Amino acid sequence: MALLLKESSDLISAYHFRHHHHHPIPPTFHHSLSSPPITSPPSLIHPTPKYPLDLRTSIIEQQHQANDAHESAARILFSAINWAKTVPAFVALSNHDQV
Amino acid sequence: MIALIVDLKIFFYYDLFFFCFQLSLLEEGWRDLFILTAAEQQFSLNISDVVSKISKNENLKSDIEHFQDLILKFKHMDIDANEFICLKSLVLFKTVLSNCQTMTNTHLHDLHTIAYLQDQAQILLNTYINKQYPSQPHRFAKLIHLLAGLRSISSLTIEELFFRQTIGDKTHMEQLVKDMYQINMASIVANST
Repeated sequence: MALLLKESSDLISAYHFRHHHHHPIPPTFHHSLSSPPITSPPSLIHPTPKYPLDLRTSIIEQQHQANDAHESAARILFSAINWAKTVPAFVALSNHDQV
Repeated sequence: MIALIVDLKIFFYYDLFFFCFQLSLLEEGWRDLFILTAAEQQFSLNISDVVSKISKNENLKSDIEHFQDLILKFKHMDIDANEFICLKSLVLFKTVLSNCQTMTNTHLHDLHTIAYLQDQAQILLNTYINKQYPSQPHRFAKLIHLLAGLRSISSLTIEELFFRQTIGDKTHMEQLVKDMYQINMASIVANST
């Protein structure tokens, strides 16, 4: 469950709980849901990627309109990928067998 | 000393392996993640600008309409941040990687993990909706139905429409996704040292 609400330590412990194969739904499940929404939507505050955008920044600046769509599309994709990196379970895919 | 080197090798192998595995999930799911994030961030496309450039392709045109229609439907559902998290998790954790080009020798254990995560995302979404929107009994089904609609838009269309001009003719979307992911990794490493 930790995959969904990263700030909740309840949920992270619930994720580890998974490895014991006791219950599919951890006991903290309902408790964590009762808290108000705590995760803000991904924003564009991440640093702008150096590649591929800045290689073409000047081109993008010269042509406008349609390029706005291209630029925001790139930003959206970048923020989508960044979001995946904030999902504990996704990042944990690289860790859970290393021990 | 030798034992240490062997340990390091194993460590490196796992690192590489799971790194590839994450990339595979992203390679498979970037389109859905892109559309969902676009919907979440209220991405609006000035359709006339784009269409005028590629109007020669009728297929593309109808796909654009599909895309806009889908974004509009998501907008009408007034999806909140928690629901978006669940939806994005659902499209990220896929056990069937059909479009994926990166070769990964996936362990059964990992597929089980992914399947479990996908289940949990669905259960959480359902529970959350029941609690948060008791007046909309069909909301969960509607959202799942919208997710199915993502498949009607081809990745190629998204690539052609939004990224061709940026990445040029010779780069594939998968490469861009990988690069974005790795840049991110690199900057994290750089910041932590």
